[in-house]
Amino acid sequence: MRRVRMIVLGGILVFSGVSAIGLEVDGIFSAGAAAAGETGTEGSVLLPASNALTMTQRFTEDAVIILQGSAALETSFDPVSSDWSFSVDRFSFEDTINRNAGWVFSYTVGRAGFADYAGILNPLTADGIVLAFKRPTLQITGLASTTALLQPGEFPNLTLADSAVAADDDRIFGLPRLLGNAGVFLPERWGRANVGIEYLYQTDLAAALEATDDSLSSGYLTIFATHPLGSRLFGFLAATGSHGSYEDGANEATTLLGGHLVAAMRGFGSGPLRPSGSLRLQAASGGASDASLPDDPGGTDTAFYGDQIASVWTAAPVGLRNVVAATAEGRLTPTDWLTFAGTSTLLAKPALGDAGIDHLLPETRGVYGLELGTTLEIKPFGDLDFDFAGSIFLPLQSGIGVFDGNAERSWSISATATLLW
Amino acid sequence: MLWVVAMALFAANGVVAQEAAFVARYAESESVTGVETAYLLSIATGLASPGDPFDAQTVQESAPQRVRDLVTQDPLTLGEFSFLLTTYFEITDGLMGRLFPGPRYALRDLRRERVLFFRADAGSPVPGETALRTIRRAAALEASS
Repeated sequence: MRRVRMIVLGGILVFSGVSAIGLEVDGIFSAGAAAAGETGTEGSVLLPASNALTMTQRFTEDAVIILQGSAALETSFDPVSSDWSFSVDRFSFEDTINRNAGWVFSYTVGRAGFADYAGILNPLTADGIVLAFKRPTLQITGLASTTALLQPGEFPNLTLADSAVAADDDRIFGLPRLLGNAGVFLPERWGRANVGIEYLYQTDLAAALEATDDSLSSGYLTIFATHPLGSRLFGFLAATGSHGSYEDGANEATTLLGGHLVAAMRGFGSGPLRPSGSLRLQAASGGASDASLPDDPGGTDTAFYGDQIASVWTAAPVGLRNVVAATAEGRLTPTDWLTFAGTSTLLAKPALGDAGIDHLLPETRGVYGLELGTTLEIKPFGDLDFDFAGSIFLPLQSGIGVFDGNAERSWSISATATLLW
Repeated sequence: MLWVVAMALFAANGVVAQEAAFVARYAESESVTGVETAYLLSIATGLASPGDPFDAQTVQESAPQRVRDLVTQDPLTLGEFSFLLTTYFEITDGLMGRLFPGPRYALRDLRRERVLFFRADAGSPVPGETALRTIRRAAALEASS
């Protein structure tokens, strides 16, 4: 049923884009292959393909309505199956006031992407209103929105109830949450330092509006700064504290209190290969929990629950919780159309809980292992690029390693072509 | 003021002395035309000499074949203006623009190359001052490549 409705919605999107007059229509087609697995087992192979259509109707230089819909087909093997999905990624009215008078006020109403000043969140989509005020040395933003109109799975599954809804084909919408964000950014307010502070809060309405007792509400306060460390070297530091509560309906609520830290340096070299590199330290607190959800009824779980924050490792079976990761990256760009990069990430486990990871030694701290990765980006034209990526995680099973002898090496490879049409 | 800007834009190409009035009039127009734009592009890209007087028929006959239909007295849309620019400056950034040359992909190529910052849709008219600034950025892009 959900699929039929989404197909109708996708048809309306495409039809309106073709028939309307005055719209600009832009397309992004992407297709590729991805495989992942562990040594000694057959890996899984996916063939994802998607096409996004963006329709832009501009009323003035600054007032615009943007509608973006996408259709995706994912084919998997063993057994062979294909899964279509359609989504409305953006449907918003945006306007800017007073652009040329020293300050700018802009607002967005509808479904739109939200980006944090610190840039540590994965793209976040919701329905609501975003307000932004900008002066040369001061930027303020505010967001009030809901996830109630998103399809199941479009917002991260934070609870068991989310996972259950995502697996239910009869559901049109996911479980409702309210999102709020407020941020202040001070670009070059003190010397060349950029400093910011922002707070993101999400409150779970599932228990109030749905037949479920499972709910997780949480807030994230981030303070960050960037500063040049030399003529070709830049530093970045972001610290996030999280708080919240989790209830499963059967027990007392668990209080959440966690932390997350990113410290990074990026440098740019000279020469024909245009080298660049970065060192990055990312840490997320862990707790005594041995599950992927808080399970300390009446107590406090110090594990970090921030599923929207991005991490750089892809093959390691380690989430952004109970981890300290040190990453070194090198990048070469010998021509405008070719970039090669290699990364190495050492992952450590600072707390005793295992956060749902298989084959961990019980009650240990130590080193998860090492992930090695490489990417190749080929961009023969401005609107066409090919990305190839591969990574392998080598679990450490002795000495200071935290895995037992049954842990296998895990790997992932992918190839993607993207065309703007 | 616009006249000063326009002169600065084309000083490097020697337009100042001979065609100052033309450039000033172009800069102040609310919507540039194909033939006037093609004339300036011919000079900016070296296809015509700065001293050549403006003659609509000559400009149209010397225009590249694929944009000749746009080189008229009619106002250009932003997409058409972009197509003229990418043709004269030979800006061919995208695959789609090579396969299907025309205003649609020319406009995208200019935006992607950061030559065009004008926030308007492809069907909008192009003010003269915006056109001159965009031509200057296209010339700078060509010079740097």
